[in-house]
Amino acid sequence: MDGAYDMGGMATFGAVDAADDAVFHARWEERAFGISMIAMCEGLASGGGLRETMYAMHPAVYLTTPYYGRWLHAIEQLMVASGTITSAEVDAWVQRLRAGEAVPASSDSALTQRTVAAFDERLVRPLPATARFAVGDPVRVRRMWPRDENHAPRYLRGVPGVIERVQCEDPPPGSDGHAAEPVYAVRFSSTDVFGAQEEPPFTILADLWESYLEADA
Amino acid sequence: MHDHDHDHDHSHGEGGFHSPRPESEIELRTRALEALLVSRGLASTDAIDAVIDHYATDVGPQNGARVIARAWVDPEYRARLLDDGATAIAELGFGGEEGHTMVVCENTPDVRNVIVCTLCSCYPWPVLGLPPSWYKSAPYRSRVVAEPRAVLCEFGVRVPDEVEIRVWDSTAEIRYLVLPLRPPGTEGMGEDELAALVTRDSMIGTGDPLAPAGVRA
Repeated sequence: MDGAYDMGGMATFGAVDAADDAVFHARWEERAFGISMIAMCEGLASGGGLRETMYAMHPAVYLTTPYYGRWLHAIEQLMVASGTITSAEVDAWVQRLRAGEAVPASSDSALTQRTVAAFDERLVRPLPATARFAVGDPVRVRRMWPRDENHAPRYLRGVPGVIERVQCEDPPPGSDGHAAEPVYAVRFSSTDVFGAQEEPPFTILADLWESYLEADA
Repeated sequence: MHDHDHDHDHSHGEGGFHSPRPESEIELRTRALEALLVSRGLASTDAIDAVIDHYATDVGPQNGARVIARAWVDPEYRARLLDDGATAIAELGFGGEEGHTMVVCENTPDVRNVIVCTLCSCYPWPVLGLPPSWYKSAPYRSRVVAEPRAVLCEFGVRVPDEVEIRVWDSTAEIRYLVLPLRPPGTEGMGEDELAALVTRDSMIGTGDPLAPAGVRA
């Protein structure tokens, strides 16, 4: 589903604040990240994908929620969807904390070891056994109006490009459990994407699943 | 615990849009979620601490700097790194979550690579750690694919017109690392000295390695 997350090519967000380079700005951001990673590693949030849930946020909410606020929103939604917790239980703890109760502390060394070990697990995505396109082939990103999670950015849809690399085989994102298919790095000319600009032309490359592409004569 | 809890909490969302005090609500809800999970035994305080510590201390751009320094001194390693990023990076002991499939993009005198994720915040965790705030911000995500020279100027980097800029949009599960040009004046330096010159931004493409002491940048 197309939403406010897909912002490539927009011009109205202003200058980059390059000095704002901290990973976390506040303790709650760290906690939201830590809670989310544990929930995902432990299978507490299996009601869908974290990214998909952020992508589905109302645009006005997405744009005005801080980065780790989106994580918090998504992980709570997913833990509710998977039946781990209810929103009412979170609401009840909000009231208890407002009334002055402290967050309980606990120690679980097995959970700690299991979680950190999970980050180091390696996964090899194989090269596709068969691929429709080869390096150098002209392609075009399909026009589409996807109903579920999709990673073909709007700014590239309908644009012609050239296969730069055959990357791997991987299931495309989305809620209906698609089979694995080839992923390609596709090369685009900035002129094809944005027309003539003040800046000299440049090159854009994006990773696109085979089903997002069609042959371009 | 952490010594980097800052008191300059940013309460804004994207692009400087200020929404009314969302942070205290988010902070409270984060604490409520932690309290609920800890009280139910689904998460523990020390496991949340360990996740944060892992990405604050064990994993970060110091890992990527080792990879780059090795590539600068060892042409065979450099060839393996460009051929199969994740496997060559694993030789130095790095890999895992958000770095299973890696492509290393080599800068040359004629080509400058820049990494972005226009859809969210995809970033090569095992070699760079968690992304800095600006990388996740709407201005960077929206504009670096549309006017990369202007955006790089906001980082103090001026790219000559004749250099081709290649912007890699991380739209699938492949993660990218830039192999910057080795700075002049570093002949004879060892890997440790070289690694100290490799900045995080030089591996994203928004900066350059440091010049060695005594050499004018």
